[in-house]
Amino acid sequence: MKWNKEERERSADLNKQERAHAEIVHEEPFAEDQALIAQLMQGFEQMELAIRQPEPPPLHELERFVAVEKRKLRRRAGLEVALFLIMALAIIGGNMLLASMNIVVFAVIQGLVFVGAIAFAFRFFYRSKKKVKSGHA
Amino acid sequence: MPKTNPESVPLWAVVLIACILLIQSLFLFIHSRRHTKYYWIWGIVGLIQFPGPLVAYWLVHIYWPLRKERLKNRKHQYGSNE
Repeated sequence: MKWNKEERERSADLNKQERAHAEIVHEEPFAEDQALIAQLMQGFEQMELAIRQPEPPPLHELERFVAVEKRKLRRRAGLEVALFLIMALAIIGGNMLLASMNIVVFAVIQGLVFVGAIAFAFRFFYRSKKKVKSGHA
Repeated sequence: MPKTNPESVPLWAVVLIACILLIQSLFLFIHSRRHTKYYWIWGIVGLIQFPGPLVAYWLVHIYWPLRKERLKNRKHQYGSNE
């Protein structure tokens, strides 16, 4: 019995020692981490001090920029419409000439364009429906 | 090949057809400029025939997107009610 008691006390001492050692081992990396974090934070603070705050551009400059771009776009649109009108006159003139020269060819072209346009619309329609059904975008 | 007598078509009809085609193609050109990248094609096709391209354009770029949006809204409505 005595022997058992001594044995138990010895093992308890050993356990205590082990626990203390483990705490030391655990504390060492924790302290190291804290030091690293502090270093990192200091680095960030220095970076923040080094980078000066960017100033937002003045509003009137932005407004002027937008106005210039809008004017450019409007001019481009006007040019495109003018070009389209010139082309339109040529195509309509050609169509009228064709109609006055040969009505059959004119009618065939008209029919083909009509059928083509409607076929395109229906093709688009069914393709979109299939996409919706299959769930693909 | 049968040839058309130019005098058989009155001038007012020619002017009317030209105006209709021009208005249609201008509408297609300007409207499709905002909605698709193929606005030149729509404009040129609109110059050739009336009302095929207009119907096709209406179906593809006006009716179908509206219908899709309406269906989506309805789905959202039912989804929130459930």
